[in-house]
Amino acid sequence: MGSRRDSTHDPQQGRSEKLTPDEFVALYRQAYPRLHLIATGIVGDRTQAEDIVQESALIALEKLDQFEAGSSFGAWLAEIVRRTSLNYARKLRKRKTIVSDPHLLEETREVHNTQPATWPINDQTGSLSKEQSHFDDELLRALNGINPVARCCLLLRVVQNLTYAGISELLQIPEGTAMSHVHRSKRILRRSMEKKHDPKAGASGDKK
Amino acid sequence: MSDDRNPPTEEQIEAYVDGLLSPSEREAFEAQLHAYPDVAAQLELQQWIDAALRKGFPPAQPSAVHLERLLVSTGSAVTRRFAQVAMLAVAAALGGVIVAWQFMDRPMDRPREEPFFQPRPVAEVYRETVKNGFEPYYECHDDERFAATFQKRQGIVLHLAAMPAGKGMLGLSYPGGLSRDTTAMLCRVDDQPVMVFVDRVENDQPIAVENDDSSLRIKREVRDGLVFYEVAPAGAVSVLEYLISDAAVKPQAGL
Repeated sequence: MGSRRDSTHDPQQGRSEKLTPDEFVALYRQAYPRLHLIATGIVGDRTQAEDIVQESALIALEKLDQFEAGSSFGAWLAEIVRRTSLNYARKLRKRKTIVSDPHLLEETREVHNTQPATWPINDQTGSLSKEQSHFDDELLRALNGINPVARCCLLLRVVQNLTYAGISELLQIPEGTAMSHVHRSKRILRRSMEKKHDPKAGASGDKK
Repeated sequence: MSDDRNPPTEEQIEAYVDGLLSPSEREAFEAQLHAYPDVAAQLELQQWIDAALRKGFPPAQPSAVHLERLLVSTGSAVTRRFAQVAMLAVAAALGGVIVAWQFMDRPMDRPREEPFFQPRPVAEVYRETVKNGFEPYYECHDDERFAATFQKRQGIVLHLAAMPAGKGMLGLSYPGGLSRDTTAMLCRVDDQPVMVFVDRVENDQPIAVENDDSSLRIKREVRDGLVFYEVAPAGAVSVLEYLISDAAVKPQAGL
C-alpha cells in the first residue's frame, strides 16, 4: 500500500488565497480523470460521464465563492460531480421504460450465456486469446451489476491507483467502507467471470 | 499465514491482490500457492480483470474545446462576480447617502414621526376577526402576564376576574381600532364571540363606535383612565364587569 502513489495530492490544499481563473482550469484539468471515473462509476456510461463532468465544472465555476480556500479543491469538485451524477441517474431511472417483455429479455440473455465460454489466456503460449474482447464485454456487464458507489471505489483504486484515504476524501465515505467496497467488488467480478470463463478450461471452454 | 490445513482466506486473497500485504507476508502467501491451484487461478483471473479495467477505462482528459469554453466562462464568471460586488458597493453607498440625508433633513429636536395609522370602527375589526376564525394572537392564561400586557400597552394594570360557566377568555389580540396600541380581549360567551377593545381615554376616536350592522351590539364604558368598547352579537351577555383595574382591586382588598 505504501508504494501506491496518492493521486489526490491537491496543491490548493492549505492555501488561503482565492483561486484565479487559470488556477481553477489547471486544477480542474488535473482532477479530470478522477472526476470522470466517479461520474462513470455512478451513471455507468463513459460518454454521459463526460457531459456530467463538464456540466459540473460550470456549476463549480458558478459556486466558486463557496469553495473554502485551504480545503481540497479536488474533493470539492468531486462532491459536485457526485451530486450531478446522482441527479442524472435518478432522472434516468424515472424515465426508464421496458421496451419488451422482461421475461423474453431474460430468456435471450440466457441463450447468449450458453455460448462457448472463453478464457483470455492461451494456456500453451500465454498470449491473449482472440476472445479477449468478449472477456472485456462480459466484465463490463458484470461491472454494471455492482452498486454505483462500490463501482466508483473499485475504479478509483484499480484504474487511478488511489489510496483508500484518497478515495475516502473524494467520495466522502470512511476508508474502511471504501476498502470493503473494493474487495467485495473484486470478489463479485471474479465469481461472475469464473462462471463464464473457467481458467482451467481451454479456449473452447471444455475442462481439461 | 496459512498452511495445508488452513487454506488462504478470502480476506488474505483480497489483501494480496490489493497490495496490502507486507513483503514477508507476500512471500509466505506466494510460497504456498502451489498447494492451492484454485487460489492461484483466482489470482490470475484477478490480474486479468484489473488489466481489463485499466484498459477499458484509460485516463480521460478534457477536450481542448471544453477547456477553452471553461476559460471563457471563468472570465465571465469573474467579471460577473466583480459586477455583483460593484453593485453591492454602489447600493451600500446609496443607502448611506439616504440615511445621512434623513438625519440632516430632520433636526434632532424635531419629534419622531409615528408610522401611519388609521382609526377604524371596532365593529369592522370585530367582523374581520370573526371572519378569520376568531383566534387571538396571544393565548394568555397567566394572570400576571395578562396584567403586564395592559400595563405595557395602556399604562394601566387590568385584571380578569373569574368568569362563570359559559363565559371564557380565549386570549388577547392587537388589531388596532382606536390606536395602534389598542388591546382586544377575545371571549366566548355562551358560544358567541365577544370582543372587548381597551385603550387609554385620550386615544378614543368618534369613528370607533360607528356601526351599521343591527345584529351587533356595541357597549362603551369609561373608567380608570381607560375606554372599553365591547362588540358582541345583539343579546349576548356582557363581560365588561370582569375586567378590573388595579385601582379598583386595591380598595376592595383593603376592605
